[in-house]
Amino acid sequence: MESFLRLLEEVEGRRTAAAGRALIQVGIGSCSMLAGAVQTLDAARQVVATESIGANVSITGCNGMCWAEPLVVITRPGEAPVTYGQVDASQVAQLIRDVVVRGDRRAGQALGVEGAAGFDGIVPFSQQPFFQVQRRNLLARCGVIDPESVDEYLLKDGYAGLDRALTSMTPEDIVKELMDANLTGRGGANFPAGRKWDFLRTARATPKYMVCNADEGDPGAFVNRILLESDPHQVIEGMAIGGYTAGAEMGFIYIRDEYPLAVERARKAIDQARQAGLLGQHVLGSDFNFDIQVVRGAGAYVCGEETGLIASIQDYRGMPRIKPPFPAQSGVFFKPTNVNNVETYAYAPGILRNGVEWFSSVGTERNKGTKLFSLSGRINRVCIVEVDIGTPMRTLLEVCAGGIPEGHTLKGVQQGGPLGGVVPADWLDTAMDPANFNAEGTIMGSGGLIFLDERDCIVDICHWLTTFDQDESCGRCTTCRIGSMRMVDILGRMTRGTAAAVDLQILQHLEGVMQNANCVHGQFTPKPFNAAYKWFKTEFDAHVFEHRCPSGACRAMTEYVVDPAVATGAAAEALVAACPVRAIEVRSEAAYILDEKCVRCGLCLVVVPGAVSVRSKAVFAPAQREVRYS
Amino acid sequence: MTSDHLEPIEAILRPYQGRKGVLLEVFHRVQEAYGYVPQAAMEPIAKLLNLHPSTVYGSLTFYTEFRTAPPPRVLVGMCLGPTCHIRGAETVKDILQRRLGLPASGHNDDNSCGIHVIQCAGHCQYAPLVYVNGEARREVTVGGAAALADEVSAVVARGGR
Repeated sequence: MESFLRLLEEVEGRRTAAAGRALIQVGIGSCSMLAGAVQTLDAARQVVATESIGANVSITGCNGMCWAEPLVVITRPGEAPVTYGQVDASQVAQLIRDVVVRGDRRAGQALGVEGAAGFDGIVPFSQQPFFQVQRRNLLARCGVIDPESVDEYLLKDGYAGLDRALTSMTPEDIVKELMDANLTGRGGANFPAGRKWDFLRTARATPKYMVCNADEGDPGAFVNRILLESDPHQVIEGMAIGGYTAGAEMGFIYIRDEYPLAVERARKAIDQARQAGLLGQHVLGSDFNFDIQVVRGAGAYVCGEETGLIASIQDYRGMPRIKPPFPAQSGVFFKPTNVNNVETYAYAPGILRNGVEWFSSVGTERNKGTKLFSLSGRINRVCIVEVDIGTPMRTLLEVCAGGIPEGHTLKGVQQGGPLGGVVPADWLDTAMDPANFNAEGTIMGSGGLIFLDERDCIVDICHWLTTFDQDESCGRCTTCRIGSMRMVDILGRMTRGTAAAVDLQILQHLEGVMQNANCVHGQFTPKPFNAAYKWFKTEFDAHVFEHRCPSGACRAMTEYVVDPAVATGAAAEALVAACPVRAIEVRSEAAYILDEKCVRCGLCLVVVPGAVSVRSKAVFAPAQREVRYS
Repeated sequence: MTSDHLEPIEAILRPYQGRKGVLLEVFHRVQEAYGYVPQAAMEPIAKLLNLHPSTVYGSLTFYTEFRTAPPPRVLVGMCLGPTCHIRGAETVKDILQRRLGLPASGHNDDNSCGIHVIQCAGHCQYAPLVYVNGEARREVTVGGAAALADEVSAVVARGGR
């Protein structure tokens, strides 16, 4: 307790020294860096230095409004922080001159202001639908604090949960509190975190290890990235609490290689925590020792499976193995280990600091708390949001993501990653609760939602997902290695229009076979097909029995045909020039498409209206065979 | 590979000597220095980390991000994640391949240019995403693919700069 208070005093002292000046924060996350946020930051620093503007320039994380990047937050002394969107390097200097020097709010470009009341026509975030439907428990500090400063985390209640754990709670108390709160694993498996920590606590072998799974491989899921990039200390504090609870002195954060900024920020945060006495020997002056090492992955999806992840940490090929023994009995270096998702660890500090009620008062009967979702696909606004478990999917689509682009209709939602599935549009009013998904034989997954509209083909999406699963199969068990290969073959035939009725039977048969795979990767590989076939049977039937793709997305089943009467002379020349792969040439004075060269990009369709049209390609239908295992 | 080529490897390995759970980090460091993980590095890595060379090689070849041969001088990284996919990334890839004369996977014969499919990193608001030697190109739709291919050709002609 005393050492924590002393630490806070020091931080407070450093803050007062910097107070009284305007603060300009540029949101630097890996996604905003693609939008030029680093250039914006450099330009902001330059204008402040060259024009001697009385302001401090620093960085912050990402607040989830991916569509409005780069974000700049300006806080004038004594006022609430105002966030500006789409501020590129050429605009930031003028923005700073206007807002900081001249006192012009630039309300037109402001996205919103923190706090309850707005001013000068700027609407506070708390009155905007995008934020009103959210409950930002984990995202509270994302886009607010500087993720590279432990001071700012400490000033926003940081490490208070760890301090409470170390000074006034026994490990049993913490387990009980997490069990009372009913915190469940956020990675998709939904196992009670308190019970998992208790397994490790009661394991007899030592040393023990805490592992944080940040190998967020599900394509279209990027919720762990925002937590590690924008608020890494929250995860570190959660792991330290876990370490104290379970009696572990060492932790690993396994971060995928695609998140270099998350690796950098986590490492920086760990170093700062060590210097502040929040990690290392005698954490906060207690008898508890805990340290964390960051492990960078290298592009293997299957390392997100806990036993694969453990194998990868201990220098082996990242291949999952049969359970039991469970990691709590034999994990990293064959010692007891606990593996949790980033989001699960991030929740521990808040529960200890704010109490069980804070967590469990929201959610559904079976699943409590909030969940992060990353929304992408055919939507107007790609974003990351945190909502109560049980929020309808419609809220996420219509309020957070800004709906489907005009003129298009929602067809389905790809959820749960490549081992999840596709649910139809009439699921929009279903509550986002893992139990609802499990009841229908699919999973809610780790938070990635990809919205699909009528232009997308479900068979093609299934083929894509299964190809991903096959590619990422570790190859250890024949069931998964060969089974997924067969599924890809068959789904590939469907997208080319050469599948037969028996292929549908084989796919259904394979579901049973794949249950014998060693790990969930193989067992869940048939899930996308099964879920999709349940709801989009007519689409599969069109591919298999009529050899056509209703949405036109399966390129192999379409053919581009020229109208020789229209595509002559200048029109023919225009078509030749428009084709990016030189598949169009002039023959007998009319344009002619070389089918084997054509990639069906659609560019020629719009160059000369009416000159080229798309039709279903006549495929050579296979004979309807008896069962054929190929 | 001569012994002086291996000197940087030894410098890279020194801080990791005898430690457990650092093999992936060692591979990353070696690849950062060489552009790939040379075959000749297997023995020194195995010796320093007290692993069998086959364990080292087995681990290396498991991960798609590690290369065992020098990368092409111009490396085109393509995200084929779901949002990129539905916005036409596969067609963009076909156009790039045909215009640049590349095989369906890997690089061309003189290793001057190649396409590498990268994992989805969740920058979906900019889909389809293409990286040219690590530099991101946002929203490369089928309409912009030909221009990008010509731009890449120019970079290839300059020897990758």
